[in-house]
Formats: sequence, C-alpha cells, structure tokens
Amino acid sequence: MTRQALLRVSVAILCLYFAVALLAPFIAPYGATEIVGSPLQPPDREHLFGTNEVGQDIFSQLVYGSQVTLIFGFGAALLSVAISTCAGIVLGYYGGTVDEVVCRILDILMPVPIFPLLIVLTTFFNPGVVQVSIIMGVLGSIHGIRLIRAPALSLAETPFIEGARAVGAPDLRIMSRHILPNLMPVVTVKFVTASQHYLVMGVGLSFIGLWDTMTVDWGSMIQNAYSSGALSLGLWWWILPPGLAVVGISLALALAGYSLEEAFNPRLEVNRI
Amino acid sequence: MIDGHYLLRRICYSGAAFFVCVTLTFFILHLMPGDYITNYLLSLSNTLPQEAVIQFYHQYGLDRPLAEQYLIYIFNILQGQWGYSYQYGLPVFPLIMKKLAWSLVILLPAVLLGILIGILLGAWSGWRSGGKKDLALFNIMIVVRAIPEFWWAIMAVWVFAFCLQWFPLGGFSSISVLDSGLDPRDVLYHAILPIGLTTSFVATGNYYLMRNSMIAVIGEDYITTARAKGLDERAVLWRHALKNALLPMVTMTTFQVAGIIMGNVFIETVFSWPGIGLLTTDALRMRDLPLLEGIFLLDTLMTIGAMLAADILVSYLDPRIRMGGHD
Amino acid sequence: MEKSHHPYTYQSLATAGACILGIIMLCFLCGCVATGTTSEGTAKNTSLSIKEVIIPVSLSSSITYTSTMQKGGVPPGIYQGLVIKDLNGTFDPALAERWEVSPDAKVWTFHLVRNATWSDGVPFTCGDVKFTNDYLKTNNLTLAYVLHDVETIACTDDYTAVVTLKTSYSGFLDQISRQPGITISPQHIWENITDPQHYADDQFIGTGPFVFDQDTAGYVRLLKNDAYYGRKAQVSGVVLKLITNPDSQVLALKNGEVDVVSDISPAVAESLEGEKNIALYTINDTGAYEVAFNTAQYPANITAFRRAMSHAVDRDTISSLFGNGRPTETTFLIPSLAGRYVNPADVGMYDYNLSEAREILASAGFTWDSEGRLLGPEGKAVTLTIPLGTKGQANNANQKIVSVLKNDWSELGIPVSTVSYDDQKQYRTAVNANPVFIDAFPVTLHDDADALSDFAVTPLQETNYYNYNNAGYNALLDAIHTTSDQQEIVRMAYELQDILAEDIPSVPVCTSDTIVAYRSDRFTGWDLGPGYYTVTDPRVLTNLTPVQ
Repeated sequence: MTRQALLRVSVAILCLYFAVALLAPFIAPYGATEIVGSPLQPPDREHLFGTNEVGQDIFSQLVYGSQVTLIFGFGAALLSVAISTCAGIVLGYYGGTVDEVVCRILDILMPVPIFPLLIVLTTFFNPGVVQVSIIMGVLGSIHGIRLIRAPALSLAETPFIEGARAVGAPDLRIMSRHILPNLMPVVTVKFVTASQHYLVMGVGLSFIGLWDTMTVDWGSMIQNAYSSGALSLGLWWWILPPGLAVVGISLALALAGYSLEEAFNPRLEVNRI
Repeated sequence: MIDGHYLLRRICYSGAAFFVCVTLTFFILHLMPGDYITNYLLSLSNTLPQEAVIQFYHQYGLDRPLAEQYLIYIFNILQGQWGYSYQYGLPVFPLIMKKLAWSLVILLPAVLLGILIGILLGAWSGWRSGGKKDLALFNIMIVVRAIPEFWWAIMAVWVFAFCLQWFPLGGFSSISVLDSGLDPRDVLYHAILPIGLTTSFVATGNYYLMRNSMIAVIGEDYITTARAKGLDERAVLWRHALKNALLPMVTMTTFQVAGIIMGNVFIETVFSWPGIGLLTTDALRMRDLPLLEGIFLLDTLMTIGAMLAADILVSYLDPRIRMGGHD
Repeated sequence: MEKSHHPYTYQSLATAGACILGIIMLCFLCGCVATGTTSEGTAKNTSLSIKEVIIPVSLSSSITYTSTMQKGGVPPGIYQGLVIKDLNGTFDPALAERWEVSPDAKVWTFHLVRNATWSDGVPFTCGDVKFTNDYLKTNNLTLAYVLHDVETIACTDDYTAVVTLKTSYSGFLDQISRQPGITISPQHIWENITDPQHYADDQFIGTGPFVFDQDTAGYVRLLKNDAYYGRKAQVSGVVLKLITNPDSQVLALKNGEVDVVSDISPAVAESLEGEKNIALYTINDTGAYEVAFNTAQYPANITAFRRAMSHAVDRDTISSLFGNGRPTETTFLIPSLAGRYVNPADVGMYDYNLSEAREILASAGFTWDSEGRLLGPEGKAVTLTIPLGTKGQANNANQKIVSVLKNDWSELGIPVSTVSYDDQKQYRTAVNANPVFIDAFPVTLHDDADALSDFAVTPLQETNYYNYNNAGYNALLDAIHTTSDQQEIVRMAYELQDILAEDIPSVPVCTSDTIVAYRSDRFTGWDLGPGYYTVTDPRVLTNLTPVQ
C-alpha cells in the first residue's frame, strides 16, 4: 500500500512517546514539581530546556507531563471506543425495538454540547485527570455508537450470521466471534482518530484549566508559559517544547489514522468533524 | 416535494427532543455542587454572612423545591422570560446576544468561508484523487488539522503580533473607538488573524469529508454511464458528481453553522476577544445558573433547529429519503 | 492509475516535515528578535496622542457593570463611601469629613462634606445616606448585609448623619469601607426606580472625582469630574482597556498602548528594568498567605502537632521563591499594615526548626515507623491532603508554598498531597474535611484588631474555618467590639495574640508584593507608598499628573 512506510513511521513515533511516558522516572533528571534552579534559566547542561518561573526543570516536566496527557487521550479513547463497539454491536445485532428506542435517545443526546457538558459533569467529581477522561469517554461514545452500529447492522443481516443463528449458536458467541472481528478495521481506525481527538482536546482543556491546575501536563505548561512571560520575554525554550510535543504525537496519530483508513477501505466514511 | 406527514412528525419529534434537552440541562445545572453566592461572598472576605446567603436564595427562588423551580422556569421560558444573571443582575438574553454578536464577527465569516473553501478544495481534490496535487493538498490539510487550534493561535499571535507586529495583539478595536465610534475596517484589522485561523481549521474538516464523498460518488455507476454517454468531464463534474457528493455534506454543514453558537474558547482567550465562549466558561466557574441555562437553551434551540433544517433540506434534495432517522 | 510507492510517502513526510520546520524557524526567529523589540519614543498606535490614562484589565467580568445598588460592580472612581480605610487602623475622610463615636461604640455621628454634588448637579445631603440604608433594606438587595448592624440612620440636619447600631461594634468603619463596603447612592435617582434588582444603570451618577463617559468594545472611559468637591483629578480621564492575557499587557506597555501594568512577576520586572521610558515600583504587602489548621480534624486537633508544625514552615525559602514580599513572623497580623496592633512579644514564635518540630512531636507521643512515616499517639499514620483554593493560584503561590512544605514535611515522615478547587463551596467543604489547608488573604483582612475575629465564634459567625472556639478569645473579642477606647483595644488585641501563640490555629507564611510598571513619559504619581493596593484606587488616579 502507498502509506505503509508512513504508518510504520507513525507507529515508531508513538512507541517513542509511550516509552518516554513509561520510563519517565528514569529519563527525567529531576522531579516534576521539584524546585531545582533559579527561575527562568535558559537551557544549559543541567537543564536541557531551562527552568520555568518557579524554578522547576522544564525537561522533567515535559517527560512527566507526557504521562498525564497520554493517559487522558488514550484512556478516554479506549473507553469511548469500547462502549461504542459493545453498544453498536448489540444494537446492530438485535435490532428491533431496543434499537429504535436507543437511537431515539441518542438523537436527543446529540445536540447537547459536549464541551460545556464535560465541564459541568467534572464539577461533580474530584477534579482529576482520570475522572475527566472517564466522563469524556462516556460522552464521546454517544457519537461513536452510530458509527459502529451501521456496519454491525449490515453484517448482522448477512446470510452467514443468519446461518449461525439458525444453527443455534449463542448470541454472545456470534457477536464476539463473528461480528466483532469483522468490525476490527472500523474500530481500530476509530480508536486511533479518537485518541488524536481526545489527546488534543485534553491539552486544550488543561490549557483553560479544567482540572487541577497543579497537575503537570503539557496543557498546563503551555498555559503557564503563555501567561507568565514566555512571549513578552521571548523565552522560546519555555513554550515551544510542550507545544511541539503535542504537535508531534497529534501528527503521528493523525497520519496513522489516515493510513489505516486507506489501508482498510478507502470508501469507508468516518465522520470526523 | 416534501411529505406533509413527514414534516409534521419531524417537528413534533424536534419539539419533544427540545423539551427533554431543556429538562436535562436544567436539572444537571441545578445539581452542580457549589453555588454563586458562596463564590461571590468569599471572594470579598473570608466570612459567609448567612443572612446574605438566605436573602440571595430567596431573591432568586432557590429556596423552593427543585421541581417547583423547574416549572417556574419552563413557564417563564414559554413567555420569553429568560431570567436574570446572578453575576450581573442583567437580563440573560440581551447579555448573551451582546457577547454572541462579538463572537459572530469572527465565527460567521470564518465558518462560512471555511465551509466554502473546504467543499471546493475537497471536490477538486476528490475529483483528482490519487494525483500528485491531490496528495500534496491532502497532506497539508492533515498537518493543519493535527496541530491543535490553540497552538496555532498562540504561534500566530507570537509571530504576527508580537514579533512582526503586522497585526494587533488582541481586542475588538483600537482605542479610537471611544471618540469616533466603531470603524469596520479597524474591527476587521483586529479580526483578521482569528478569522484566518478559524477558517483554515473549519476548511480542513469540510475538505476531508467532501473529498471522501466525492471519491465515493466517482465510483458510482451513474458517473460511468455519464462518461459513456460522451459528456465532457466538466459536465460530469458539475451536473452529476458535485450534486450527489454535496448531499452527505448538508447535515454536517448545518451542524457546523449551528455550532457557532457555542463560540470558541481558545480563539477568544488568545486573541482577547471575549465572546460567548468565555462567557460560558466564566459562568460555569461562578455557577451563574440563569446565564448557563440561557446559553444552553440557545444552543439547544440552534442545534435542534439545525437538525430539523438538515432533515428537511436532505429530504427535499434527495427524493430517495423519506423515512426519517435511519442511516 | 499507476502509482509508484516511494515518491508519495516521501513527499508526504517531506511536506509534514517542512511545515513543522517552517514553524520552528519562525519561532526561533521571534525568540531572537523579540528580546530586541522595544518601542523607542513614539508608540506604534499613536496612543501618545491619547490624553487619558490607559489602564489594562484582564477580566471581561470586571468591566461589565450593573448598578451601585447591586453586586454587579460599577466603574472605579465614581462612587464613594463615608470613609476610606488607611493603614494602622486609621481612616481617611471621604463623604464624611469627620466623625465621632459614642464610648460604647454604638452611636456613630458623621459630619458630611458640605459642597459635594452628584454629577448631574444635585447637591449631596444626609438624605442620600439615610436613603441608601433604607432602600437597600426595604428592597431586600444583597448588599444590605453590609449594613445589617445598623438599626437606624437619622439626619439631624442636611450634613449630619447619626448612625445607631443594633449592638456595639467598634469595627463599624472597617465594615463600611472595605470588602465590599458600602457606597452612597443618589436618592433623587433611585427613589424613582421600582425594580432595583433588575435595573441596569448606564449613567452612573456619583460624587467621586470621575464621571462615567462610555463603555464600548472592551474600553471604558471615565472623565475628570470638574465639579468634584475634593482634590480634583489632574488628568483628563481614565480609560480601562480589556487585555485578557497578562503577558500581552506587558507588551502593550512596551508598545505604548497602555500606561501601566500591575501585578507583573519579578522576572518580567527584571527584564523591564533599564527600558527606556518605563519605570517600576513596588506596593509592599498586598497579599498574605498562611498554613492553617482545622482544629477539629486529626491530627490538627492535637495542640502539640500544631505547635510542632509551626516550626516546620520554612518561610524564608518560600518567600525567596516568591521573589518579592517578606516572611511574616507574627501570629497573624501584618506588621507593615497593622502597626501598633502587633504584639511584639509574639513575634518570631514560629521559627523554622525541624529538629525542634521533631522533639515536640516525640514528646507528644508521636512515633516513627521503620520506614520513617509519622504515626500518631494511637498509632495512626499521618498523611495530609491539603486543599488549595483559587486565591492562592495567582503567581503560582500555592505551588511555591506546597513544594517547600512537601520537602520539609516528608522529612518529618508526613506524605503530602494536594487537591485544587475552583469553586469556593467545594473548597470550603474540603477544608472542613481535612486537617491542614493553605489559604491566601487580601491583606486588608490582616491589618487591625478586628481582623482577629477570624478566629472567633460570635452569634453572627457561628463557626470559623479553623473550627477554633476558645471562650476566652471570644469574650475578649466581644469586649473589643463594644468599646471605642483605642488603648483598651490595643491592649486586648495583644492578649488575643498571646492566645493565638499558645493555640496556633494558623501559621502565617509570608506576604507578597505587587510590582507595577508604568510609562514614565506619560504620567507620574503612581507610587503613593504602602496601603494603595490597586492602580485603579481613586486616590492614586487623582494623584497622577501628565508628564510635560
């Protein structure tokens, strides 16, 4: 396929990010919130990217921040796709009144704006990353159910599945052994694009301060730099690293998503606005 | 033509959806922990005079049972009374409209232009899919879309406003507004950067969908037939491909236009352009319930209106679709 | 169609790479260039031709005005109260020239200014004062709570207001002058308004040194009040400009688009030193921070624990992290503001000494397990979750305090974690559920004897956040409220601080300063010294003179 190499590169970049996140305690020279130098030191041998206005090492913050950012992005995407897939398969397979009712409910929930609803729901819990990513996953699955349901529906009506039903195979077996594997391409693509979407959204939410502002992640690093003098003082090493880190993983995920999509089925319509 | 039954059913359904949404948002908002008066009083000093709290609750009817508050709210809504903001004491609707007007200055041209550019480029790209130019454009679009919007905004402000000083740092207009009133050219000068960014962003999404749609259409039989008939490429493109490719876009574009109502918090924050987005986040932070109810109500109205409009438009344009809802 | 594989994949990679490289190059360019861009002399947007003082504000909500009878806010410099609070518990005259108080602090007589007029020409009289009080109460407006102590206001003549309180309260002047205080509203306007809760004022008729001109597109303009009875402004007007990002405000200052920026960080201040036409000054002690205990929660309910931890707050290090301000060595009051109220015997009681902290803990029955974790007298481990509120978020104050505390307290075997809250109610609920919290105050709550009521339980304030309820303390505070003898008040304030030093419900950390930068080629007169906390303080604005 034309995008094979691109896919490989994207996956390699993703692995790099994951490695950094997993090995953070070994890679980062200092703690994320440790005050280790004088404020606003430019990059030097001790501090690869310098220090911020409190005196914390920016490189260490970048490394530890990757954990929070990745957890939110992939966690929310995983949850969202898992719920969508299960619900979509169940609805597509059983059809009938259950399907009708749930579709109507979904139709009603679609117009509710996700962004403010997310903020509202977050207030009900402790303002932590895990809580917000769970809420995001649940909210995001609402839009995804439709997308999984459509191919599941058409699959359920194939003679193959009908035959399996006629033979007496249990429903759960049919759904997990026959329908799900055929949907994996769609699900995979959805997962990759959802991760990209939620990861970027997570950084944005942190940028406007949705969860605990003491959390070190790329969004709060950008916000900090942006409002505390990085631009007026021209401190590129303060504001660029987290931003470029986000751009990097976002690009990798986007390219991976598009490559996968074209690889599986160029005609597949995946709503992504 | 449009089936009368279908229309009626859709309208009834929209009305029901509207009520359900309004009810849901009302209860969720009122069940949110924290309240405005506590935030306000504790921002002034460290004490919470109980009598002020009680008076405030009584003034805004918060000491009544929730169900009663809900009924009063619905009753007021039906009369066009949207309530008064806790923070400002001003009526909610004019307050929203004032901020919305400023948001629209950026978002309306940006979204409309973005949709137009996206669709045109997407059509062209899809028509020539697989070609060198198509792939180049496609890659550029991927990169533009993958970079987060607020990062684009910060970089744009840094490069064009801070360093090169081609554009102002932010704000609606320059100080001359106090003496000579609002100058459209001045506002435009202040709005160009945010409009440009938002347009690019909106265009990428539309580009992608249109391209997909176009590719799908090209493979259809009737295109092959048209070509076999001997029609020249341009006629095929305009008369057959484009129209059919546009069909799936209708729903998406109506949603995008309706989505303008929620504003764009990132653009507003970075460009010092307080509009409906910042109004919403501020209201959420301060738990200004009437204002939030008003904003969500407006958004629900717009979205359900958009859904209805999309359904009607699609059923008008495509006679094959008659029954509503199913994919 | 024939497609060869390599050119396209390389091409897409190349395009992506080129885009990113291009962006990085531009950013580097800016980084090198930005530090060199300053405006010399003439500003880009010819704001030098603007005669008014331009002051940036960062919140859109702070320039959304309603009316003086409501809490929505009004433009600064327009409305006035009876008195203005100054340092050391003293008050400056505003609409009241002088005043007397009865010995039992129950009857306050204000002699009002005689030649004050509202900006529409109507003379200001005692009737306006009486009307403000009655109107707020009859219409049940939120701000009425500020005057809840007032029984009646009587006008013995046009310029004498006699205020009778329900119960004695020596801190009455404090209550009407700050946080939020009360401003006097014009009777001739408000008596005609039947729905004050929903009335949106667009004229703002007041008695102050400025009058309202207009509010458009993120700008608010106030003009000099030529008929002002007191010291008139020397500038033609003030413009408030909305710039949401603090960093952009600094750049606007450099460009000449604004005349002053307040609340800048020490690093930015350093970079501005030596800039042509930009001068700096510092307003000392504008914010205060404390590590506080909820004495109802374990282990803060053990006095020895509190005493030990009071020796574990390294305020010198914390203060140096702040970059400005100074460590607070008293039990609560801030010396530079509270002056004579500070009991010198109670200064320096909470010195930083970790080994002393250990000793006190050990002698109170605390032990350490094999991993060094602190265990209480009953063997229960001590772990702390510290709730943080919004007030400490400015300039990362919370972070700075927490980082130092975490280090030190982990040496004592106490693991510390934090949770931040945006909402006051949730924050206060968390405070109530945990033993230790960090709080930030505006300094006007640390500056006189009445400020010590923070630790009291009174009929009006049934509980405080420290859950501290000491009968002797409450009685002393009550005595302070019911007398107007200043010497007695100081003596009793000393006693109160002695009690605080014994029970230690809170450990003050440090204060922070506000650094202000202004364009010295436009206006001077900004720096009035301590006690003038914001640049929009009317006393500062009337002190400004244009540079010729």
